Amino acid sequence: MRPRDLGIGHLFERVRDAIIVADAHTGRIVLWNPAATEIFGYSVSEALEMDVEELVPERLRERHRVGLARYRETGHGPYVDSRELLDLPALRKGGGEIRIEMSLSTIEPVRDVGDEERRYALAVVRDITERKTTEGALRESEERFHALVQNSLDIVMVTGAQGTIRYVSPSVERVLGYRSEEMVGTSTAEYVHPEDLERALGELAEAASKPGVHPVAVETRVRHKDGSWRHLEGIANNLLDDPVMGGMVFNHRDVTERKRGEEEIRRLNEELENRVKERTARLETALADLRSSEERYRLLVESAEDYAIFMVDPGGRVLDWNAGAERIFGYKEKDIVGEQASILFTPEDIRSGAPERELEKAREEGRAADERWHLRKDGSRFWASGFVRPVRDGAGNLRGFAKVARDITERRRTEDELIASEERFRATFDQAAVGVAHLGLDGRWLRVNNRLFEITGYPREELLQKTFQDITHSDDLGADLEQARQLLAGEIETYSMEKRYIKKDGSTVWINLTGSLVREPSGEPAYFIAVIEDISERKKAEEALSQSESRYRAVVEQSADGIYLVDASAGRILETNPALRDMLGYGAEELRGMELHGIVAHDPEDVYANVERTLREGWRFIRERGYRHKDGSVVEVEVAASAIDYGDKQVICAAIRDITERKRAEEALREIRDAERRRIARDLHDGVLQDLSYTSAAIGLLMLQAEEAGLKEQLQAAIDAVRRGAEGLREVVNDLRIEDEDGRPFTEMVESLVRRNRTMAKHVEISLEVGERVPATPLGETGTQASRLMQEALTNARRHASAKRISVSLGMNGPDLIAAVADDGVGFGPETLPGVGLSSMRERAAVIGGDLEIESEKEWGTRVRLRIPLSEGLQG
Amino acid sequence: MTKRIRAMLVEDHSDFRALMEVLLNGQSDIELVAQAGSLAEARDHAAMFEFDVVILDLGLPDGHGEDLIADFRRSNPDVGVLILSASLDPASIEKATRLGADEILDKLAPLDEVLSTVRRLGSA
Repeated sequence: MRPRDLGIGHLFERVRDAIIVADAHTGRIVLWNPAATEIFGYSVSEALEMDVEELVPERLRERHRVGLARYRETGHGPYVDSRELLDLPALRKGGGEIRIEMSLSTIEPVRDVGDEERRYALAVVRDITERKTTEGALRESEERFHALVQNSLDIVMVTGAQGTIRYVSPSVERVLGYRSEEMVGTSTAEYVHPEDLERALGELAEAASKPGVHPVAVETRVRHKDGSWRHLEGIANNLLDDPVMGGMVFNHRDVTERKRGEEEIRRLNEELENRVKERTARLETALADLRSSEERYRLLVESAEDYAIFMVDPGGRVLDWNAGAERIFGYKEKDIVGEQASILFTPEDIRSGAPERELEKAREEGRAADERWHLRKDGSRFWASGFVRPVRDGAGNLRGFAKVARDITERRRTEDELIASEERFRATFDQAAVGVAHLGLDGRWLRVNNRLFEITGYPREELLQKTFQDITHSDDLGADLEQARQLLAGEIETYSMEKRYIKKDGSTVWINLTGSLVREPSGEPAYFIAVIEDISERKKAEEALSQSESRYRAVVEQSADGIYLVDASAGRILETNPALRDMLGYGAEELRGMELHGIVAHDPEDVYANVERTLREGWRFIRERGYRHKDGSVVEVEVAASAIDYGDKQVICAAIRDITERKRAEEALREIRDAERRRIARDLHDGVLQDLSYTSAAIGLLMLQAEEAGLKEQLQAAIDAVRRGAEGLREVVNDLRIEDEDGRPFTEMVESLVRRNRTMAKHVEISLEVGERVPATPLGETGTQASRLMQEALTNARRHASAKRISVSLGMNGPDLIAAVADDGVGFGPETLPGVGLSSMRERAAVIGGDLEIESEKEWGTRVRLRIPLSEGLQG
Repeated sequence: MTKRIRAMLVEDHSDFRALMEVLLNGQSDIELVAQAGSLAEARDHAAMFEFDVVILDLGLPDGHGEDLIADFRRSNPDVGVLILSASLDPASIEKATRLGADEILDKLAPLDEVLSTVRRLGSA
């Protein structure tokens, strides 16, 4: 068969694409052009000996045979019918595999070239191996970027405007336990802690209100897959307009451990404070009890005594009577002298012979002392303490007895009360929350309360055998003895110290000891009083605190991030870690006390505004900040700062991370990617697109020359296929030219569109109306697609509708943007809907989630109306 | 028979240019008087030949086709300028329009549309 038998003349020889015709019945190649030789390596004579199957890789041959058989039987097949552009592997001469793009069509000979009716298949083939390689390189560069994201410790997440997760880096699994695939498609709200939801929505709204790279700090607790909560901090950027990202982009970092540490320190501090307060209160109560009880005792002990003194003769009659006796017994001297003293005794004592016995005892023993009830003149009784002594003359003859008595009724009552009081005291003493003890000057325990047994672990008897020196930890004994010495020397009134006792079981217990000294009235030291409080718990807490502090200090010292503390009110640096000093080239002493704006390379006003904001909000993240090196250069960093309580000062702890390298890498990556995109776009545009245009025109020319209707139809189909390919390619080229139009204000794009069409169609009047609230900001992809769609509508109106007037309008309906193009041209009925233009418009509308309405009626013109819902961030 | 429309073709894709030559010379009312594959060549021809319409590609090896419009207009203010390009991105359309192109067509446009546009611009 010759090419002209198929009506494709010398074009066959000149096109760049391989044109191959095969006999569907034998599978033999019957036509093979020079381009086919170039692509597949077989000469024409070789090819015409071959089965077309030899061009098909082994793994695809079965499918090839089935397809060919179906076509042979029916004249149809999915690829032949659709003339779709197929992307396939193929075999070159020698077995090398190449990548081709191929469209298949059925073709019939112009003249009879055989006896029977035979079917032929026409394949137009292009070698795209190189293009595939280029695309592979682009993909590789994107994969590199991807790898960067994947290996980052941070979680990178991209969501739609409503928070639906579209991408999340695999690092999320380490932090939250979910695999990234699980999270894609779900809403971020599902993971946020209910208490944080409101704030998270607020942060999202703030980010949404700032399109572009305007990082907004976000902070929230997020549910781990195991049900626990993780604390994430990070930034959000609204890159919904960014053609690459097209979403809200979050960079999150897990700060749970840091938060937990901060919380622990705060809690321990609080606990400690409470405990000290509580103990102090109890101690004060106990001391107050003790003081009041002792005071009462002293008052009572110090009460005065009066004595009755009188003489009786050996027979018991009263000889004299002093004033004290008069007051105590109520008898005047003249009333009682000469009376029997027995009237002073109670009837029961008289009956038992007590008066006589007393005198008898005094006479025989020289003294008789007792305590008994006596009677007053008025018959009332009182408790008396007294003694009787015999009175003898110079010769030793008994002359009588002297009796001394004291009214101790009051004292007895006091003693009763004292006993009661002491019992109360002992109860208090024993039940006190603190240990209380009296110690001898030699350190021996004299009196101890129950609490002290609990504290020391010794039973009473055993403890009373010991001295405080025995059970005091040897490291603390020296200080204790020195204080005791000062007490004894009167240098101090009291002392207080923390020390350790060795308990009976050998373990140590931390106590707080308050010691004081009780002196005799003479001023001689009597005994020590010790109040002993068990402070093991507090010590434990303190130890935990100091451990936790040293743990954190170690983290800070070893951190690769620069960390410093700054006094918020003075604006001066308090402390720095080695990483910060390395980063900025200073020594620790140089930095201490330095003003903050000395190291931050921004206006002091701006620096202190940030300090204020950090204090107000508690936490702050600054994505890019310049810090000044000692040598004057600026280090680019990101900063995370939190306000912390530091004694009574307000202090900000800031961590800075050098991002110079990161920025450089990002910038380099972006440049590589952009350059590759541009190069691919240029190659596709300058090479493939030009050739496709040529092919379309070449087939168009053939069509003009062709006379046979069937052939014309086939050629038209081939043109349509090429044109579809070219248009698709043009889309690809446009998409690859990322800087394109997405960043142009939408209204400006439409205005220039209308201006352009006015100059191209001078006989048509084109009006433009822009309603209020139409955003005069870039709408990104939405804007680009909408304006291209409007261009297509304008082209239709201008070229095909013979319109005299075209009106273009933009307006808002609620949150929706309405773009309309209406003309007064010929219009079309449903039977003449033009194909390509409309389907492309519908596709564009679908891409940006818009509704397209087309109303057209013969003689009434056409109206195209596009409704696009704008996300909140895009509304004016 | 009325006067034939004289056309000049500026196109660097030689296959496409050959094809346009066949197309235009196949028309009884159109005469292709000159063709050029670069800006320099086109400028030479513009000085030498008279023509009613120029069919101009945008991307040429030594510059932008639209930069020729002013040169053509200088020698013949009435010359019709048809941009025939495969790269119809808004920016280049804008620029070509601003520089005075009368009509802009996609290289993928049907050939009869190209011919009718040549006729319209050439007989104006």
